Amino acid sequence: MNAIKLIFITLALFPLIAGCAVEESPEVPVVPVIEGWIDSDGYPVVMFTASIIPDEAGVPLADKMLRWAKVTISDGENTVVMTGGPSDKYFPPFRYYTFDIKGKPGATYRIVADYKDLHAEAICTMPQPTEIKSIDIEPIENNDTLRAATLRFDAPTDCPAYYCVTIKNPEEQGRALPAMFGTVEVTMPGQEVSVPLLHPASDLNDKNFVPQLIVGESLQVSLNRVTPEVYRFWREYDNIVLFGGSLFVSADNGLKGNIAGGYGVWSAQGVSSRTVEVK
Amino acid sequence: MTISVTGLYCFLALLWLLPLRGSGAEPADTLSYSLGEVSVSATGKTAMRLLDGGDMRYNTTALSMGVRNLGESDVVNVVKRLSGVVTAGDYGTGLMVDGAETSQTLCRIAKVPVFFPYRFGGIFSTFNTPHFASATFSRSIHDASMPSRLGGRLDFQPYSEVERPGGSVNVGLIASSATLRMPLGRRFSAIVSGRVSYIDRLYGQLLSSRHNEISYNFADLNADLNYAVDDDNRLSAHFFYSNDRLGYDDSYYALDSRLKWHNTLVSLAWHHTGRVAMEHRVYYSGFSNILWLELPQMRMDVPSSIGMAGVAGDFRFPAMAGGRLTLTSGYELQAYRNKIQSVSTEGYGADQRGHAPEVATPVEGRVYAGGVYELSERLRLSAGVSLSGYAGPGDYNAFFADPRLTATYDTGHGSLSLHLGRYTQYLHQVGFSETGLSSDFWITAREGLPAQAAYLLSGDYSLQLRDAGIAVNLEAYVKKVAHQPEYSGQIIDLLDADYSAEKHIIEGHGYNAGVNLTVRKESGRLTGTIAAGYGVARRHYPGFSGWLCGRTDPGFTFSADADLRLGSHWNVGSSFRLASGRPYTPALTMYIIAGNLITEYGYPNSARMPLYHRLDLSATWHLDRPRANGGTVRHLVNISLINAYGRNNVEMRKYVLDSEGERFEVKEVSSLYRFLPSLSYTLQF
Repeated sequence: MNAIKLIFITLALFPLIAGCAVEESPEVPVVPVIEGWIDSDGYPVVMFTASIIPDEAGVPLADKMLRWAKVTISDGENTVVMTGGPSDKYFPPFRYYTFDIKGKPGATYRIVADYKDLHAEAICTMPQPTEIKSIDIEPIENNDTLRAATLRFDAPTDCPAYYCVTIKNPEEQGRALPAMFGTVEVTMPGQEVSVPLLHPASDLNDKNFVPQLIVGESLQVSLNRVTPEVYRFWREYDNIVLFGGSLFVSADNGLKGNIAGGYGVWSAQGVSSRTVEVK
Repeated sequence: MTISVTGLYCFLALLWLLPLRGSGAEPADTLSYSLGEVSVSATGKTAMRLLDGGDMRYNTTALSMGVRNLGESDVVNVVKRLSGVVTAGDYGTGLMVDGAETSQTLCRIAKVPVFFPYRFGGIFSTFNTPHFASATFSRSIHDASMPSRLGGRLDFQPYSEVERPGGSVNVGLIASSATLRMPLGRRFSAIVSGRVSYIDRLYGQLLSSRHNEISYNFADLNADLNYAVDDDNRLSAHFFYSNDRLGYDDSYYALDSRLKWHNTLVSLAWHHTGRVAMEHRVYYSGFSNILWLELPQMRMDVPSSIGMAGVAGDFRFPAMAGGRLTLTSGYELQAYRNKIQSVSTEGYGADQRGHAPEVATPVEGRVYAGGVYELSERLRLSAGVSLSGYAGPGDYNAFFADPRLTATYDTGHGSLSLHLGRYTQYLHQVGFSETGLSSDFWITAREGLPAQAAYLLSGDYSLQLRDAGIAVNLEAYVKKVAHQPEYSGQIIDLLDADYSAEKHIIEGHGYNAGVNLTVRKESGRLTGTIAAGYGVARRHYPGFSGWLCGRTDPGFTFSADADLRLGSHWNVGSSFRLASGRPYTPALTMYIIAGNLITEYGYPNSARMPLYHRLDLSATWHLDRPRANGGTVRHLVNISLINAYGRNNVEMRKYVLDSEGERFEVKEVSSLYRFLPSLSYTLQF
């Protein structure tokens, strides 16, 4: 009986001992966040902010914009310090830009951003763009105000290729935003690929969000060929934005970006654009 | 928490060391006094009895006198109050027993598994309690007859005979049910029950909050038919169907979600009580679920299902070796049809993306044999082995021998058991939900996703203090688990043409360990249970160097239930539950991308929600009237108040931007139940 008691007590004590062994999540300091892009035949834009730690609930997001940072971009030959300036067409309403470097497919672009003790950098090589073949707009049954649209293109010969479709409303936005379900991986050369054209989803759109295009809109639609890292980033972003609000699914995996020293994404992208009048 | 846990251990150690003395091993509910050759017994009407080995037996009729959730008495809700048994908060309903996953708990009707027997929001289970004669709950220690599952077991036993017409009608504020038990001639009897809800009409506003709107309704139907062939043979047929429909609309998001799930069970059984007692059954049990994610003019349908058809039987042989040896054996052969989670879309674009649902049809066979041998007057040895074989999808074939050994020592006033056993499970359930909702899909074992295994060492001490009518059970366990699946995919992955669920399931291993104490007063005007436990579930997954807290980690649990009989017409009851908050994955940091707030998370389950506690109260008035043909007619009016002091138990925590996009704020989704009253009338006859 004593042996049995000993085993029993050992069993009873085990969870107390074992309970100490779990790994704790590390505390993460405030780190820099970059969201930047340079389009083929376009100019670079970088949005540079600081991350928010959970204890900062209630802090104005405006405090997280890094207005006095030094942001540089280089294409391997030239290095340019970008200019910071406010704009209501961006969110948060501040960005860094320059017209001294223009995007060329095949070139590699490196950005470096510094603000006080925050430092981040990223590098990205611009793929060749793929032309948009067509954008087809169809009426939706029993609906006079919405339209279903599909973007089509032919897969390039150098597959696999990765794409992110963006939409910009030039009247309201200074930047293009990723279209909902707009990330595509293409593996078969020559294959015709179709992508639904849906409004970018955003927390700020709240309940008024309508995915389909609205009659009367004039939109700039871009097919951005991106690197695999950038594709993965926007694809995970799509998942979080779309399904983060559901009680039934968990979409809390975070985003794997390509910024060293911080979060976010830097994309040098081959771009094909069209303007669409929704009728 | 360390201090309180240490205190608990001191208490448990004290209890262990104290020379507690009872004077008999009979369960207190069956008062038994030996007077030489004469034994006088009387069976009480307590709602539950604590059995040796920590098992609980529930009297479904007596349960109707206790605390009811929204007017319904429910065995699963009572089981949830046991120490070491947790759910993933009020939104989660699945039983996690001693650190095991919900899908590792086996729930059965007439020994046939039911795959997801839960309603949404912890309201109650799909089991219409008054339909059944009794229910039994077993924690960890199982003999070789336990089917291929790693965790606890909850068995519902239908009525095997009906002597006179009887039944019950229950009218509540969210649901009404009726059960009818009828003898049909000399040999037949039937038991039929149905239940429908109308939650949205009365409770819709209460279930919803400022930021979300919930709609929910369900219905279920049970039917049993018994045919007594002769004194030794009986045939029975069982049918069960349950249907749930749930909608969730969050004002922060345009996305609306809907869930629909249903269970179906059909079985036929032959029961023989001759020299070799046996039971053979043929059965089908199925579960299907569909998740709809809707945006204006767009919808994603995510269906999944599992069905199982099989035959099984159990044998009990006559005692041998002078009555010291009893042998049992049995068999199972079942074929599955498993449709793994897939997606189809509507209004998504000119072309539909997604992949065709994958259907697997594996076969599982099992035989077991075991025996109980009385080594001495006080020491009993139970040994057995379960041999299972599995032919899965592709080339995955498996065979396992699961030996089980239990030594039980009769202390004279209780028993002490030690159990050692191996367990196998060929079914996995994984998915996107944090709280174990029906949208988590079943997937049968296959290449790259082998059968789960567990090695259990468990000790159990049961004590009966007959004079005081008190039963005590102390359980301690260590369970090593292997091949534990965890879903790592995202819902958007379903849109890939080459989507494969296996690619998104990672495998972990780990252990569960814990101790549970249950003290139950089972006789007298005041009956009740005090239960306390502490347990851990630790997991190791690829990509993490150390141990992680499992999402099933029970932490600390405490509950106190009391039921007091006042005069001949009133019962008042209370139920208090205190538990560590649910483990969750905390936010580490956030940032803005494309105008949206993105959250980066820490290690899985490395934080806990705030302490969970809740007090439920009930009062039941009853009036008994004799029936002309014998028996009584009982009228009951039950008033219950759920979460009587309005504790705001946090279920989920997210960070969102405010409506102006100027600040971010913490959004906490709280329990559905605060100050939730219910009134019900029950007629039992």
